[in-house]
Amino acid sequence: MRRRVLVALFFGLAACGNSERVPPPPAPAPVHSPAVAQAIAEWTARVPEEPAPEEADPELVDGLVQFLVGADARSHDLPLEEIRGVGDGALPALVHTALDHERPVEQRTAAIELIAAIGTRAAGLQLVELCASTNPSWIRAHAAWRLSELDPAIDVVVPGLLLRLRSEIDHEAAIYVAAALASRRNFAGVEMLSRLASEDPDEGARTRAAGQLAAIVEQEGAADARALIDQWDARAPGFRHGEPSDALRLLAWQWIQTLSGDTFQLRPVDDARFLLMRLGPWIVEPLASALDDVDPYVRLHSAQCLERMGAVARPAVPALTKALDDPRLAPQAAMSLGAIGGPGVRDSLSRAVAKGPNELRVAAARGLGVLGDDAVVTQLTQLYEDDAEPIDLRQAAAESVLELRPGDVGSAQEFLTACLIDPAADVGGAERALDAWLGADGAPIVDAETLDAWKAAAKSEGAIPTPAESRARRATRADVLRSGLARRGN
Amino acid sequence: MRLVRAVLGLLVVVLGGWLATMVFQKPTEAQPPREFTSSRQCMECHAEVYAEWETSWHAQSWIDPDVRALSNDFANTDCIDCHAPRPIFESGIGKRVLPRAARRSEGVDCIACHLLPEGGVAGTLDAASAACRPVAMRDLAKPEFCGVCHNQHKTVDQWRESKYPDQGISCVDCHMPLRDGDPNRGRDHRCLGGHDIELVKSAVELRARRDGTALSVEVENVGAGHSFPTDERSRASDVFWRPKVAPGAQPEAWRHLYRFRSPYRHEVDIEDTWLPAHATWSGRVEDPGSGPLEVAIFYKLSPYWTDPNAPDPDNEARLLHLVEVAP
Repeated sequence: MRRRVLVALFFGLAACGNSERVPPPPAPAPVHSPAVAQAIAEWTARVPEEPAPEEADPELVDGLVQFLVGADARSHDLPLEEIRGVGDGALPALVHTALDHERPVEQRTAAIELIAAIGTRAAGLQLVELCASTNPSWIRAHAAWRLSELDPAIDVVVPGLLLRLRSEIDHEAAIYVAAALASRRNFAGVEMLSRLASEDPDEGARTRAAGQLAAIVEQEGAADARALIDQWDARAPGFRHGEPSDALRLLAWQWIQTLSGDTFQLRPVDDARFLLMRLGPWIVEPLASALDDVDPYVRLHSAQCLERMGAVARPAVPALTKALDDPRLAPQAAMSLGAIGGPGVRDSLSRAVAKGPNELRVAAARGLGVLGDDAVVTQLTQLYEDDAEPIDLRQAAAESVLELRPGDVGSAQEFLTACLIDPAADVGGAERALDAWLGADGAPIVDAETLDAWKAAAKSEGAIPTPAESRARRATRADVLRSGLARRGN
Repeated sequence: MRLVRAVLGLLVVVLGGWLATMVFQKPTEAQPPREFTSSRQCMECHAEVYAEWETSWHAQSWIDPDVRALSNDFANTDCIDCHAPRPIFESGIGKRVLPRAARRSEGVDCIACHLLPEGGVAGTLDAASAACRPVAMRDLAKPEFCGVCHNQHKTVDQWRESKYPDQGISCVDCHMPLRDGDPNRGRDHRCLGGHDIELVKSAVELRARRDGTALSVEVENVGAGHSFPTDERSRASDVFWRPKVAPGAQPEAWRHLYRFRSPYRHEVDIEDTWLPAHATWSGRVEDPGSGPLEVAIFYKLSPYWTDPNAPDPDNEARLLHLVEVAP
C-alpha cells in the first residue's frame, strides 16, 4: 500500500511539473568590428602622402600652352617635356586655362594635353575632375581621351571614371570614358560601348564606339565583347586581372565608408554602390570584410553591392551565410546569396525559408527564385498553398515558382491572380510577376485572346491613375486571366 | 477497493500539487507589447486613422504604378529605402531609413512611423494598458522625423530657410492638420501633399497683366512651406499662355512660357528652377497680340510630355490657376 502511495505521489508530482522543455539559450548576438575604420587606417599607412607642390608661375605655364598650340610635329614634344619638369605645381594654372571660356579652344585642349603630360597621380585626378558634368561635353571627352594615355598604373582615376560612366549623357565623352577605364583593365564600360556601337543614332558615334570596342577586345585577346565581360566578371583562369594599387584600395575603403549611416543623402550612397560593384573582382574581399562592420548601414549596403555583382561575388558566400545570423542583415544576406549562388546556398536559403523571422523567410523565398535551382519548387509550393502563412511570404514563394518553372507553374499563377485584387497582397508585385511570365514562358499557357485582353488592360503610358483606377484595372486583369485559365482547364 | 483508494490518493496528490503551484508561483508578469507583423493589426483599434492612411499616398508608395514605372519596378533598389522603410525609430531620427524585405506592399505604413525598437509604439499619449503600449513621443511631429525621407531632396532644408519655422509652422500643420482643428481628435493621416490638387493650388498664386504691349506674368509661392514644386525631380509646374478665343471656337494651342522644376542630375543642360518659399517669379511675353489672353499654370507628376515640341497640358497635366487678361 505504501509503495503504491509513493508511486502515485511520484506520478502526481511529475504531473505538477512543467512538461515543456527548457528552451535553448538565445543565440549570441553577432559581434561586429570597426572593419572599415581599421582598413582605412591600415591602407592610409601604406599610401605615402604627397607633399603639396609649389605653385608654378602662371606666365611660364601659359607660355608652354601657347608654345604647344603653335608647335609643329617636330617641336610638339618640347613643351610636354618642359611641363613634366614643372610637375604638379603647373596644375592649377592649366586647369584654369582649360576651363576659361574666353580662351580659344586650341589653348584649352592644349592645357588638357599638358595636364596629361605631367603624368602624375594628381594630374590624373585633375583630368577626372575635368570630366565633371558641369564642364562642356567636349572638355569632358578630351579629358577622358587624355586619361587613356596616362600611365595605366595610375588607377586612382577609376572610381571617378566609373561615376562618369554612370551619368555621362554625351556619347562622345562616354566612349572615351569607357576606353580610359579599359586602359586600366576595368571593363565596366564595354557593355555600353557595345550598345553605342550598335544602337547610337549618330553614325559617327557608332563608328567610333565600334572602333574603340574592337581595339579593346583585340588587345585582351577575347573572342568578342561578351566574352571579355564574362572573363572579367568570372575571374576566368588565365585572364590577366588588374591588381589595384594601394592608393586605389584606400580609395575603395573610403567609398565603403561612404555607405555608413553618417551619410544622410542617398545620392553618394548610390554612387558608392554603383562604383564599388564595378571596381572588379578584387573588391569582393573588402566588401565581404565590411559585412562584419559595426555600422549596420555599411553591412547592409555592402551586401547589396555583392548581390549586384552576382556570381563574381562567390568568395563572399561564407561571410554572407554567416550574416544570416545577423538580425539586421539577414534578409539582405539571403537575397544576396540568391543572386550570387554557389555550393551550399540552396540549403542555407531553404533552411531560412522554413524557419525564422518573417522578413528573413520572405527574403529567402525571393532569393530561391533568383538562385534558379528548381529543386525547391515543392517547398515553395507548399508555402504559397498554406493559407496560415503570411501573405507576403506566400506571394514571394509563388513568384519564385513562376521564375523557377515558368512552363510548369502549377497553381502559382492562380494564386498570383488572386493577389492582384487582394488588398493585403503586393498587388503591383503580383502584376509585375504575371506580366513577366505572360511576356515570356507563360504565354503559351493561355490563349491569344486572353493574352491580348491582358495587354489591353495594362496601364496606359504616361497616365497617372488614381488608386481607385489602379484597383479597377487590376480587377479587370484578374478577371481576364481567371477566365483564360478556366478556358484552358476546360 | 484498493484501486479506488489508489486513484483517490493520486487525485489528492495531483490536486495538492496544482494548488501549491497556484499559491507559490510568481505573479503573472505584464504581457509584453503585441508583436506587429502588419499595419492591418492597427486597424482593429484605430479604424479612422487606418482608413485615412489607406487612402494616402504613403500607403501607395510601393504599389503606385508611376513609382513602379519610374523605379523600373523597383529594380532600382535605391528607391526601396523610402518606399518600404524599416521603422524610423530603429534607425533613428536624422538618419537615413533602411529598406525592409517584407510587407513592402504596405509602403510607408503605421509600423514604419510608430513602432519602437524595443516594442510598443510611439504615440501622443502614454497608455501602458493598451495592447500596443503607446509611449508619448513629440518627435513624431518634428520636421526631422519627416526629413528621414523627405529631406533626401532637401524639402526640410527648404522649410528651414523659410519664415515658417519662426512662425511655429511645420510639416504637420499643413500635411497632417488636426481633425476639425480639434487637438482631441488627433491628426489627419491622409498626409496630403503633391498628389492633392487643392493643396497644390494653395501653394502658388498666378498673376498676369498687360504691361504696354507686353504680357507680364508673376507666380508667387504663397503657401508651400518649401520650394514649389519640391521633393521629387519628376514633379514639374508649367506656365502657359494663349490668345483667348470666342466661346465655342476652337481654342488655340497653349504656348509655353516657363517651367518650375529641379532636374535629375543627368539633365546637365537644365537649370534648377524650383520656386523657393515666399519667392516670386516674373516673366514677360513681348507682343502677345492685342486681343484677350489666357494665362495658366499647370502641374505634372511626371516631367515628360508625349510630344515635347507640342505640349498638351489640358490632357497631360492638371490645371492649378487660370487668369484672363483683357484686351
